[in-house]
Amino acid sequence: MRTESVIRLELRRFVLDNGEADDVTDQMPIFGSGILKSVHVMDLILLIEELSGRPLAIEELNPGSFKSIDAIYATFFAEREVPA
Amino acid sequence: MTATLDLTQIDGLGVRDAGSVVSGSLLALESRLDRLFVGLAARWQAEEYRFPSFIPAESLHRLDYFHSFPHLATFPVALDPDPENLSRFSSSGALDGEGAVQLTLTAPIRHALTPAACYHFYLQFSGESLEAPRYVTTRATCHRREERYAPLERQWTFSMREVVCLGSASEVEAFLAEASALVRSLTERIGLRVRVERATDPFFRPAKNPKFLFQKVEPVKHEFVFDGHLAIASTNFHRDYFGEAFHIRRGSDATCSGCVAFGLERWLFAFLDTFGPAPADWPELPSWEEIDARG
Repeated sequence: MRTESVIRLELRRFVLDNGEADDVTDQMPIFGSGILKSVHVMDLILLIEELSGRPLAIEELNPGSFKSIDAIYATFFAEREVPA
Repeated sequence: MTATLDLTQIDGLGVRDAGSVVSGSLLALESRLDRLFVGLAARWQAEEYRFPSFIPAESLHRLDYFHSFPHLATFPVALDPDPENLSRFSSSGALDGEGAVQLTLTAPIRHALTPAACYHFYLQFSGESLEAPRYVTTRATCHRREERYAPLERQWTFSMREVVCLGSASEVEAFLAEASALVRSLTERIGLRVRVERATDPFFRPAKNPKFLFQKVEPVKHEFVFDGHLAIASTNFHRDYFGEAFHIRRGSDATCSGCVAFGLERWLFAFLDTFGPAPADWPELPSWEEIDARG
């Protein structure tokens, strides 16, 4: 089972590998600040699907749900059964 | 109200299948509205430009337009100038039985008809480095293919006035916030039933387009929606999308940009629907000073 810390680590790694930042915190705005761009959205969705083990529906994408790693975790992982 | 508005009975309005013909008092109203929007642009000393009807296809390709909006694109087509080809066309009768042009060989298509007024600015300022925020305005006849058309409301060819800011993210955001507040005050002052709503652009296959998904999670477009169904204006924050595509710099970064856009025919529809067809019943347009004073 992927733990919260593993999920957050994978998300941080994605931001650092793809974005324009030397460091990232879980509270940092990742799109609003320009670290990630629109071209990264699809890959981020794929990563969230992989980590959560389920497909995301467009209806689940709402303003603020990709604001930060904290927001992504709260929206797509918190209070959900995370499969191994 | 829409249900009772009969556009075929409006003086100065001719209905065409994909557009409209405006004259008389209605045309005068459109001109006053456009001057009002130019007056809004003047608050930022925006320089006015007039661009050609065509925009290079290469510029739209650079914006990924043909991937995102192929269903909206319209192209100017010309015949291949070879005399034999022209001869074939001129002797063919030109149209088929249903009125469709029977083209012979066509010349390469390297342009599109302008789909949005502000695109021309990014091409115009390509490669520039801005030492201060730049404010500009233009009016363009825009073209967007649609599944259905309705005069004044949804036309293949329509008039768009835009006021554009190019600058840092904070400069553009400040411009959009002020412009949005002023347009909201304007609609209240006139008495139009308008609500500001979050919106996304009409992408082709949106679920597969990261730009649409990005607009869902990071709202960058807000529309002034008349009577719950018709966007008569919008504000759009492009971030650095156009700045990156056209290498326009603001300081050490790609410039950000944003625009406020007005669909002039749709403003006419909102006026007619709200106040009726008689020009005597239409309210005077306020000045921006009056709108400011009212807060």
